[in-house]
Amino acid sequence: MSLQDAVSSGSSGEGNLSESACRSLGQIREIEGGPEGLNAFLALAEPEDLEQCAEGPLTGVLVAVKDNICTVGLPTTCGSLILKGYQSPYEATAVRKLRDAGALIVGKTNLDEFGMGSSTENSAFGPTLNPVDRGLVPGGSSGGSAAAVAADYVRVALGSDTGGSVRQPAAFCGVVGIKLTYGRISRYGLVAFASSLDQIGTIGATVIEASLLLEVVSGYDARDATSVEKPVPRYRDAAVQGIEGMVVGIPSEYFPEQLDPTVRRLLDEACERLVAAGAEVRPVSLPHTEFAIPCYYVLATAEASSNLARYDGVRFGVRLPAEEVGRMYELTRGNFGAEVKRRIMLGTYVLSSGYYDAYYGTAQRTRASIAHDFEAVFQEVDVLFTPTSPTPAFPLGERVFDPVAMYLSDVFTVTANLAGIPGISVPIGTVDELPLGGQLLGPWWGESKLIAAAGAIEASYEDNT
Amino acid sequence: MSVSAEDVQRIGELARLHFEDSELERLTSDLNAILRHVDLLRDLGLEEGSEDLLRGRASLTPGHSGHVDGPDELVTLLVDFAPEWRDGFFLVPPPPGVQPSGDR
Repeated sequence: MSLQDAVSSGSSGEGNLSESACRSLGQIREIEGGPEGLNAFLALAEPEDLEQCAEGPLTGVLVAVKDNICTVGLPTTCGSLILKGYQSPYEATAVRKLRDAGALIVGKTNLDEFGMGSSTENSAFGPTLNPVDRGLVPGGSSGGSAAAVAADYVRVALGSDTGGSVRQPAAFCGVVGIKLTYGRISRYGLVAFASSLDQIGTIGATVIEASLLLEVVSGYDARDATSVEKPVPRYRDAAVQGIEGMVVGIPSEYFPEQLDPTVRRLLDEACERLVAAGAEVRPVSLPHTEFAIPCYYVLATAEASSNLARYDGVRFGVRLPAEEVGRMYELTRGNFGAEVKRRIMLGTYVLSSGYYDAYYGTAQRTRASIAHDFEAVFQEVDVLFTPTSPTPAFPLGERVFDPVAMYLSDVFTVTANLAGIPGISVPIGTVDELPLGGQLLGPWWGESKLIAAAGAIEASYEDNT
Repeated sequence: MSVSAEDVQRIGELARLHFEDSELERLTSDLNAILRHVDLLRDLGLEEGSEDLLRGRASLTPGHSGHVDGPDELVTLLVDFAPEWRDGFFLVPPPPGVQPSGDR
């Protein structure tokens, strides 16, 4: 049953929906446990966990949840050995809202450890495979959630997006990924990686399904100091409202000369589809874009080094015993994977005495400049259209030993997190049979226009088939 | 800027991470590759004292109340997590080097 069917059928019988949910769980277990498994899930619910659900807009709908979002009854490991088997004593606000709306949490999805990565290869529990081509990465860090939707295990999933971690895997797997304005969805219960950048996002098989999930999980939460008290629009309506008269900006910095010609051709085609749907397309400039990746990797790692200091064997997760307390810290923190250690080290360095302003201070000022670029350009246009990623999904293992190459996968997505603005990735065709995503960016609280534009692009492809 | 293996070892101590000598060379090389990329930021000329460039520029966070409620009541009671529990306190092994007093 699709999410749209579930919503349009209203309270069409809790028993039937739950029964259908259980069958789906059984199928997921069978596939994931066999040779065709993708390693998309780190934990799956038991059938009895799916026997009852609340009455609401999502009654009986299966939802997969990224494993850095706290759930009661299922472990929350963040893809890390340091939290192996960890059971959260409380539930994230977003998950509680899903359950209150009738959703059934089918399982916890694989991710790059603590959300640090762009391929889901940094999970301590093995990589997730891309359902489109099992030799490729599904993107990251919400690769398990994107793969679960693309493999048709679920229609919708929660991810988290610190630098593109919902949008990039959605693009690599050929599904829709949405990150909202910072503060729109509560971060309460989202395990912190870089608190000023982290946002929960949704991944869906279609724009309207991802939008419906957003409606449920969005809204003010007094438990998150960065949550903003604003009414939540009916995003599902935006998905079909059309884009007549909308002005779409094309930032030249997101279309560098090195961009693969096939990728560029698909992006140009998508622009033509926006025009055919009634939008006006206009070239614009975001001059600080080239500084986004270095800026992001200074700020995100600085925040990570602070946030991950709590995993010391005393307060959370595993503890490796030692005779001396400092040694106990070191042994326990040895459970972090290589990428997490690398980022903690970089973050500690850029915050250390003598380097703080040269790195962290400069990056903060750069962040303000990037935000200003967006603020200025949104005086002229309603939304921006860019590639989500410079390339389609890349082969497993290709970039795992080259951190800078891996970081550059996020070159078009990190800017939205730095500026706190919303972004969507929507499929725009295939390159050599691999899905490619187009990204729409909008001003703060401008999600409805983004969803409308994404809906128009999606509809134009459906019209062609 | 670049870091040496000795710098990396010192940063590791600050971060409470231990690296074997065999790991240090690779990590030092990785960090220097990242720092070379990060040094692009210097081209912007936004070093300390250039705050005037930002005057009137964008705020970094959408408006929020700044108010926060206390956490939820725990769905699962703490006692259910504790291997040992007495009189409202967790019973834990003594820290290294500390001799327990009393009956525990």
